[in-house]
Amino acid sequence: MGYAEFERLANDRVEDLLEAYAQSRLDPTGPVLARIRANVMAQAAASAAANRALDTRTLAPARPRFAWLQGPLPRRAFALGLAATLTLGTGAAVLAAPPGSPFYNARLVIEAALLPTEIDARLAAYEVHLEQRLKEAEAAGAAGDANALAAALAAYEADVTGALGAAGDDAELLAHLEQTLAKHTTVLVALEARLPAQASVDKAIANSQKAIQKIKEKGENRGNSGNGASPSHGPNGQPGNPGPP
Amino acid sequence: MDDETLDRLVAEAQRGNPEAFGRIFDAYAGPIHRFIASRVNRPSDAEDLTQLVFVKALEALPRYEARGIPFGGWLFRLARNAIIDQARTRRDHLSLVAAVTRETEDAGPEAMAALRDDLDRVARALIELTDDQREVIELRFFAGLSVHETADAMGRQDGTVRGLQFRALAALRRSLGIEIEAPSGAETSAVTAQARI
Repeated sequence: MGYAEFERLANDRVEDLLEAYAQSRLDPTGPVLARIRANVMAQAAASAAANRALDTRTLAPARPRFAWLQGPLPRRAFALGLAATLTLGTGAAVLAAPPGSPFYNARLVIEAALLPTEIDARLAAYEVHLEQRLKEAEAAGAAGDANALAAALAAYEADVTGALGAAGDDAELLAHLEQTLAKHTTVLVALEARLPAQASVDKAIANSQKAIQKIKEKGENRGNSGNGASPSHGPNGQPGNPGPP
Repeated sequence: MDDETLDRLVAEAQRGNPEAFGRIFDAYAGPIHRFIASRVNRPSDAEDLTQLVFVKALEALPRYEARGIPFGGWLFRLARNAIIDQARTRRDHLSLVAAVTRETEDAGPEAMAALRDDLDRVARALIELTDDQREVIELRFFAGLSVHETADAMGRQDGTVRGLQFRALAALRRSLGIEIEAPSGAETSAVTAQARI
């Protein structure tokens, strides 16, 4: 065995010591790593949501202006077309209004009016709205817009109440809603950790937890009375598992 | 994680995919934390700076272009800058001795004492290195970077890094009393035994 080989063996021992040192004194513990990950990933999700929001607001490229006016268009048809365009344009603007904008409340009223009446579809629509509100809240938080954040979270709370009412006493729907709210609570807690103190976030977390508690109580009451619901459908209107024959 | 997978994840993360960024985090969080923990006084600083590095990476990712710059080198350069900024603002002295002590808990009292003694000797030996030598050891052996990634993170040539590593290992051998001779085989240190548990 030559000098180079002995040197390599000696270096291997140094490297073993360095690795032991790093493992023992430099590696993060599991909870530390989990905490860092939760915060970083919440930031990543908020950035993605903010980027999506920006994308949807990006204006389409401008067309050559008024070229179509060169033709012999009758004045009345033009007026009617313009009125229709303005109406549709305003409607579209209302439906795309972000939280904190003057049209946001109008948008919430329209969305509530358009909710389906059938229970499964209604709950599914509420869940879509809840996800949307959370994304809006994250984007508002990332942008440092406290008013928009409060508006999005107030709408979120209203949708939680609506979803709870829509699920009624259906055990399967309630269980699904409970899971959804638990996930959302995690997102809200991460949002709270990332932002300076915001009463609206604390309130949303508290209300979400209250709703989960209500669902649990409904389950307990059902269990106590022996009057279990018999769900036959999932939240997306799909038939439930019929079980073994 | 192979280079191809990493390139794909970086591209997806640049397009705003949080899941891809999560996988990059999982691959690099441990090494980044090790590197930072070896250079700051408090464990809480290591946690905060690790988080800061990934948040900065998230913000800077759209501007990252591979073009021969390894992603690991780029990420550790962010970590290095974050440590330097923190040291400037907090006027901290970089300390390896004060690194968090978390020896293996299931070892007996004698083995624990031997282990702690060995690790303290490593900490002292690291302090005796020059700044550049110590940084090479931290990036190469604590963070697990390649020579090329280390060179990129430090803004040096590959050959310079190899030279620094050679001299650093020689200095550590001397400090730790590890001779270049045929090992007896029976004198395995408590540290190496514990490290492999």
